[in-house]
Amino acid sequence: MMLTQEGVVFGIVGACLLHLIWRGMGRRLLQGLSSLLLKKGRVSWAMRLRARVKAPQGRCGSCRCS
Amino acid sequence: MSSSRCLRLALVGNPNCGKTSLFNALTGGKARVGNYPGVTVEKKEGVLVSASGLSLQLLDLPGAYSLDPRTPDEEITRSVLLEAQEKTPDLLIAVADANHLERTLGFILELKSLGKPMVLALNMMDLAQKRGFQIRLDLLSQELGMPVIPTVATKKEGLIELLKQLDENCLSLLSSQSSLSSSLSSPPSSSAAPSSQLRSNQDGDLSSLNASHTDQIRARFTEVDRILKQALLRAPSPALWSDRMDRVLLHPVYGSLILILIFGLLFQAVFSWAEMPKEWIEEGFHTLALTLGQWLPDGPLRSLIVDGVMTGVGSVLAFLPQILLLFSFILFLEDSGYLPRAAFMMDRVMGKVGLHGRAFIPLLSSFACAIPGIMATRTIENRRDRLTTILVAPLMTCSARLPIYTLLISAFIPNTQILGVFRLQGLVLLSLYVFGVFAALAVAFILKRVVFPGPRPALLLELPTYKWPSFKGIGIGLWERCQLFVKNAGTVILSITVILWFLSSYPKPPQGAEGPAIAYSFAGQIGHALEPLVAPIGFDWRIAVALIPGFAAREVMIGSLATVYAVEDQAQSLGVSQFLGERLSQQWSLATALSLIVWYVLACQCLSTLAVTRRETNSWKWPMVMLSYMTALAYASSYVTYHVAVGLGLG
Repeated sequence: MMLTQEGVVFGIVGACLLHLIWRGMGRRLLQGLSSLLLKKGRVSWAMRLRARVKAPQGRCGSCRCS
Repeated sequence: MSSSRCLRLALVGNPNCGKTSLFNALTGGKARVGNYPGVTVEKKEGVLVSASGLSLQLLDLPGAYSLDPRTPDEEITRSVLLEAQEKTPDLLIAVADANHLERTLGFILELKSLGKPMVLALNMMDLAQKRGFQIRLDLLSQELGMPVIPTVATKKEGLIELLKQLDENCLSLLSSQSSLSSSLSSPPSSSAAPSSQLRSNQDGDLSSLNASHTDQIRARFTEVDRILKQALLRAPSPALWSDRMDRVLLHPVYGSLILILIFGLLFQAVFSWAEMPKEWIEEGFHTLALTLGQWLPDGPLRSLIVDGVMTGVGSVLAFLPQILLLFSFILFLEDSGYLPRAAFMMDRVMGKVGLHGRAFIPLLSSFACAIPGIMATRTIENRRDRLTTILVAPLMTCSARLPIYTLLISAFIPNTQILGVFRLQGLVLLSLYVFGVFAALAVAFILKRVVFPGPRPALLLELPTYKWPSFKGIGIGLWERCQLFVKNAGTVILSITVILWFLSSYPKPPQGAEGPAIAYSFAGQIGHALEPLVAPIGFDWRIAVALIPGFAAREVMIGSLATVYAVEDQAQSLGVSQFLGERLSQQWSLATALSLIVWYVLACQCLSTLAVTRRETNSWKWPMVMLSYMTALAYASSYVTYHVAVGLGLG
């Protein structure tokens, strides 16, 4: 399959979109997934996932607050 | 309590006694420090390794004057120390400013009543010695019943002795825990009794509690006087250089003039000194865009990289020198101890609009970013005063607005000299900051009279000793700031720019279509749909398109505008970042530029600010109030500005 300029461009745009979704909703998605795993009885997986979810720190990217 | 678990240590003491400096020195952390009370408003955790290799968890708690919390940050300290929970600290490192023992010892005696093992770190010993204090450490240790270690946290002095002492205490604590766990049937230790008594007292009879509480405080301070008479040998020398400086800097006339001069110099410097490095960055991006444009074959990938990435990200990164310059001034003022003096000077003005004097530091922090400003309102005890400060904090000009202001000022205001010293562009920038301050004061005035009426409490503020700022600390602060800005430009701004480029480039115009291709794109269609909403305030569809991503972060608006213009006119797209201002001055009227500036002074274009307001107020009501009133105020003010400017023939 030929890699066209348009194909590369759509790949980059898709990656950027996913990045923004992850930045905005990643924590909530992981929390939702861990709750779902907990309901399904997968306690260790849910706990592992929950441990990876960082608590919100109030960071904004344009200050050095913590 | 399991003996195998990691021991928890907590740094506790009055505000501005050097807890966070000690925390950073012990853990190698880079938590924010400043020479004024109320920098730490949230507990922080770190790990330290003791002299014998024990791994210990260290908590840095917000400063408190007693275990009776008056402000939300003191409440955090109290809850960590008193709540019956597994995570309560095993050992307390009381940090005391050696220069203010008479005030600090009362709290230390109160902490001692909790019955936990304690070590006293007597900090800022270098200053105390300079001031002529002679503290008999052995006697103080004997009287307090705890080891006393002299330290200078900022110079990392006394840390080895402190670590050795912590090691000793932790080892004995671990051995006592293991013996306790081996004899589970034994009665609970008497050391736990005072804290449980303190907790149970809260539910008891209020009048008897008040009486006994007052007696306890009185007894504690009598005890402090007795200890100090023995342990403090010499009174301090009366006239300190810090006091002499205060005679000028806190003078009603000279002090106010110096305050205005300092901030005037700050904004002049932001414009004049940052110009050269800004041009270097712009030149760098221009050369890179030209090289890539020649190297890449014509097509969408070339357009994405040159018109999207280079133009969008480059135009934002060019403002890095100005932001770093602004922060170097703020960090210098923070470290020197001048900020609380500025709060004291501003108290009269703020009092007239009903704002609490303590609101000054949160509002001043908001010049950097509204988020630490809103978090710093935790030092305000009254909920109404705190809410008023939270609601007006985003009106203070944050650093994200700076790129937009400087872009529009450079494009529309001539760089003429005034009085041979000042430049008009710098003065206009200063006036925008002043406009933000006056808008905040006006809104606070209305809020305090209509929504949160009530008396204004008097300002009681601790003025720290002046210190020569640590250049290493300022350097670290600027480096962190630089990293965050570049990271933000390389992640969020880059992604938004790429998506905006896509929206501005697709779908392609149909065969035989007339007019610019961008008019047929998604962005063009969205912009044209929004145009009727923003046309009354003088904005066209391109500004409407750029305003939307500007909600993620204000500075994104620059990259968005650059991308929209670059995609619209691809023939001149190479290195367009440095010509954006020129393009705007050609295509926009002065009325539109003024209207956009007013919009950016007053609008709540920041999702993170709304999120932190939700967290701090624990409700969606106040973020929604903030968003609604700021949007309405911005729209109405931009409308008036635009139409007045058009009426004056500037449209």
